[in-house]
Amino acid sequence: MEFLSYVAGVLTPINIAIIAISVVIGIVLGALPGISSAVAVALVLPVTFTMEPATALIFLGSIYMASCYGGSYGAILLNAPGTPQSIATTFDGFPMTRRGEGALAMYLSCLVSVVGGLTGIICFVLLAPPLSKIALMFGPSELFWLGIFGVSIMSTLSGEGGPLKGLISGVLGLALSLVGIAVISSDTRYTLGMPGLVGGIGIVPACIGLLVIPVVIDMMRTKDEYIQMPVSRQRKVRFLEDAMPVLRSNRLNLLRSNIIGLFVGVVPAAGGAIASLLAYSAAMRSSGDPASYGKGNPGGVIASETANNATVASSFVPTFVLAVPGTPADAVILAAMLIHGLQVGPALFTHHADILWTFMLGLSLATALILPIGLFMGRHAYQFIVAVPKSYLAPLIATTALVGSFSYQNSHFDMVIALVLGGFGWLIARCGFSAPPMVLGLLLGPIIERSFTQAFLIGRATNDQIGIFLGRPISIVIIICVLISVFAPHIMSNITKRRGARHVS
Amino acid sequence: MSPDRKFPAEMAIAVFLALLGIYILFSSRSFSALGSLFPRIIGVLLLILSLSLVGSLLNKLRKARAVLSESVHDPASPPKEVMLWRSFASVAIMGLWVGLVPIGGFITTSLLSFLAIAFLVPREAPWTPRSAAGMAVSGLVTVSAIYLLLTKLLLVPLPSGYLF
Repeated sequence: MEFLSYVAGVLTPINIAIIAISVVIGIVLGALPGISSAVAVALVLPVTFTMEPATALIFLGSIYMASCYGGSYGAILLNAPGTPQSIATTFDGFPMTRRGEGALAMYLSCLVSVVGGLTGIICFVLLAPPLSKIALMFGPSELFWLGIFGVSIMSTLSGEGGPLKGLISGVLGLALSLVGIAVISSDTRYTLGMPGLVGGIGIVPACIGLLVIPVVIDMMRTKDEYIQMPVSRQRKVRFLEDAMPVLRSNRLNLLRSNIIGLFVGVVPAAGGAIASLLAYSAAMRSSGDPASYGKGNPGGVIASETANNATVASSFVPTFVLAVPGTPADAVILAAMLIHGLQVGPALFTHHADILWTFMLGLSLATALILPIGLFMGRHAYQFIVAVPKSYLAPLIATTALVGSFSYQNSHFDMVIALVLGGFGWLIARCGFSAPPMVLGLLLGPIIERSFTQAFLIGRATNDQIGIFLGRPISIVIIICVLISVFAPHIMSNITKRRGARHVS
Repeated sequence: MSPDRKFPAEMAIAVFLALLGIYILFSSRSFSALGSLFPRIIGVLLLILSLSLVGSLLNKLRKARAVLSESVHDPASPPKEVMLWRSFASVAIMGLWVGLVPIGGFITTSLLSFLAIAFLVPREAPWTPRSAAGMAVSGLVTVSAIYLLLTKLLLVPLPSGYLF
């Protein structure tokens, strides 16, 4: 009976209208470069002050979920991830668009985002307390190794010029994260005397600079159209006929990416970017054709988008149970809860259970609504990209990119950073260095440094430096994964070469 | 780019990154003990990896030359016309836009750079007065729409200057 009252609480006309509107707003905001999920939720926060607590949470949660999906629009169509969670979506989504399969990528992204989002919500409802215990097992050393794992897999997987150049790109990203005030000691580092660099290099200008500006610069090189669609692919992509078979053949990928998203989501500060990269890596490694990843394999889009939407609800576990926000967007939602007088922690599940479960049901409805709204918007977004000529698309991308880098912190200097990194990214991309590991290094750098320094201090205090980094069970598992991710490509390539040599002889 | 043509650029980047590693290491001496811990690790890693790349590039070049001296030139399909100057010009236009936006304001500079980039994009069909006018109108509508969406609807401020 109680459950029915929660359902009735969600299915009021005002709530349904708010959910539908928030899904549209969330997709649009998520698609805009420079507006991350956290910024999207923060932008609409003031609107919720006059709402009922449950309605306010549904509104914010729906925008968070929809913006996480909306990030895939830029990633697939323009190689410009609207949010950091969609970085891994660019690897295969953008090549799919370039070869005329953007509509299929958009359909898949929409469908798996809904599946990932709903699975995350179901797991939150069923497993919130045990998952929070798992979150508590992640100390500084585990977080440090998790960050290193994120950078290492990205480096070895997306390095078009080979694993060494990929690793260098990742380390270069970590080096960029050193700029500004140090996370623990408050030293001002590598600012070259420029006040604009004291706050560090922002992830949004860097993302825009390294991933979007090179696309604009590259458009100038040849007369080729932006999307090279062969005649055989110039037919309408149908959802049931085309997307569903691809999804069926990626059943295991979908399940695995969901599980990865759920577990990474509960780890505070890990978030959707790491989840989508881990899922992408796992999908590639277990695929029968790993070489097709990064060249437009739909499995890459499925892995990334499933995992990042699965983290949305699972990241509510540390936020609601431990009052530790899993991601920056969760921090904004936590602030909204405090503004509405809601006490987080175990008490939330008893004192405000009605609000919590109404919120979860509302979020489920919003996630389900992403399917029709997202399919409609995604199809039209792709048709727009296909229809417009390159001479309009290039300045449009340049304008939105530079505006996006400005709007991140209302800083003119961020535009300069985006442009400088864009020029640099384009130059080094021509020599085989890839930008995504650099972006990820920059994103994870502060987390890795903070965790590393904390673990180092704990080790010094307990007189067990080696034990703190190398002796904890979860750390050992992650270290093994790091070693596999770094050395497996070399070993595999040597084995292939030897086999080839044997065949020749 | 062919391996031989790519080599100087790749080598230059590898040397630049090695020097960057040395700079990171050298500068970390002025930080506190905790503040210098992570930069030192990154500096050393960057240095080692960059030097490995230098070695790998030299090795690859030696092998490539050996293979090239034995192989016959493949008369494959003619290369596409690549207009690198346009790429550099687009960076210059964006640079000018970023530099002039505090003076000219968002709408003025964005519209000018929008049109400059649009006319710079290589295309098969030549520009006619009609297509150029259409692009000018599209640029004005697009820039105005972005301005209105961000400043009026989302209340996100945009760069302002002496003009508008």
